[in-house]
Amino acid sequence: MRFWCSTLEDPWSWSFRAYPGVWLATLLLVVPYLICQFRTQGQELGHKKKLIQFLLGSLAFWVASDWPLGLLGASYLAFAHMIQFMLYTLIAAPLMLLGTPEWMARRILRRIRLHGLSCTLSKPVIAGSIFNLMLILTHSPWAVDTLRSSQFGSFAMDVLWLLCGLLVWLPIISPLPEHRMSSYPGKIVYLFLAMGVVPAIPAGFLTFASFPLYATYELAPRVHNIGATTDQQMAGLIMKLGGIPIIWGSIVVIMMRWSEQNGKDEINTDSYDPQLRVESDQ
Amino acid sequence: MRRPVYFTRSHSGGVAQLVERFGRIEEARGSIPLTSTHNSCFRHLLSKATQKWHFLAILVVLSLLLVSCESQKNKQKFEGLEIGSPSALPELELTDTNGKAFNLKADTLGMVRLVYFGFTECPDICPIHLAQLRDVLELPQSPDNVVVLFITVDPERDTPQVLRSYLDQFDSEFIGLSGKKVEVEAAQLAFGALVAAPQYPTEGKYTYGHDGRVFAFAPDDMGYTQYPHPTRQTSWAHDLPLLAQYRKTKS
Repeated sequence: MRFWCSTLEDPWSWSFRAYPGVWLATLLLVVPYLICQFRTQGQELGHKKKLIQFLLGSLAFWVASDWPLGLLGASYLAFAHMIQFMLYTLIAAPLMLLGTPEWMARRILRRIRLHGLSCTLSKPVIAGSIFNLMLILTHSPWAVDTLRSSQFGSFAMDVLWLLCGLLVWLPIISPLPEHRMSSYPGKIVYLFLAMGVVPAIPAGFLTFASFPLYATYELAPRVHNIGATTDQQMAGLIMKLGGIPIIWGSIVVIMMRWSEQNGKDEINTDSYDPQLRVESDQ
Repeated sequence: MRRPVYFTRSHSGGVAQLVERFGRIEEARGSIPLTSTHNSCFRHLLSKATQKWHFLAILVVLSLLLVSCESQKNKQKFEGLEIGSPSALPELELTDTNGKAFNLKADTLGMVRLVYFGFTECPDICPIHLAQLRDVLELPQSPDNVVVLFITVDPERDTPQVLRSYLDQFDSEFIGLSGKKVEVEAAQLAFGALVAAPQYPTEGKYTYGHDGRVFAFAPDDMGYTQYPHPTRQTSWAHDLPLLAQYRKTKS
């Protein structure tokens, strides 16, 4: 039995494999959260919504890490590896952030004494740079072939993806207001630049390379006879297009909130316009 | 007034007295104080310089070694396993998937032959090699005159139909060859391959331990290189055009 999904030389089969490390990690995320939430049940607005969001985020983490997707991504298919990356950074991480109440985030950061560091790292330029640096490093052939070959390396890569996913979403949806950007246009620009532009570079390499870049997936036993080059091209397309619905969806939501805010501001200014009052009095 | 003591290592005994006495003379001459500091400093500098030279010399030697290694590497033409003395393509006749006799040499004249011994039930190496070759041969830069010859080591289960449908999963141009068990074993020996042996895992379905190399023969019928498992596509793509050129240079 293995602790975490890593490269295997056996041919792929749909027979179940247990990875207790993945279950343990998921439980370590969910159980403390549930205990904290049930202790303060009913004391906060939107309690149930947050609970569902966090559980969905944890579910995404579990699906991305465990058999079959975890094993396919660690050993057999580059496109499964890319789906994992998308799940960690674009689904699990934002849902976990949305599901974390402010008091819980404050308590955790106070306990581990990382509030100051989290404030520094959540600055848009820093968060975006770290995320993109991680993205390029963890998708380099050297990193993939080295880290995926061992359970610890594979675990480290998955955890890094999740942490960087949390980091990149902090300026947008952090539970702590001091982490969030205040300007709506700033949020839109940040989302586009941090998550929409740089991933297109490795995605382009993957899609248009003549040869498979990752030895791990090139020399793995074939899954349903999918060729290594086709697999890599699919990985590139997922990287390039897979994030579009989430990123642009988020941008649309931000724009709607911005327009709502503008509307409210206009109503407020209108109602306090002294000239209008005079006109209405007459 | 007490004269300065220049020789600082030993203040006691005759040496110190002598130094004190001659210190005046030296001072009067205007020369440097009589101490061993200068000498030791010089020696120190000298030894440092020597060390530097040694270090530089070692660096130069290492660089030369590296350069020579690199040039040795450059001498290696193929990325596959180069054979010191190229071997000739064995003269063999087996049966193809249409049930017709197939002569390895006569029926593939002017082609790069990639000969591989495997079996259709192989779970790992065979499908990887064949998929790699399919992908490489689809590349526009790959030469046209390349033929893949898949010789089964399991003629009992790999009937012509089974062999054909298996190879069609990869490329319908791949040629499947079979024969009697004795003929297949003789073919393996002729190529210098390890003779495949059946292995019986606990599930009861037997498999074969077989040679994982692809034996490559240029159009001049000579085998210059072999490709073990795993071989990356970049290596194939590098070597196949080189192998294909042998026809022109030799003929």
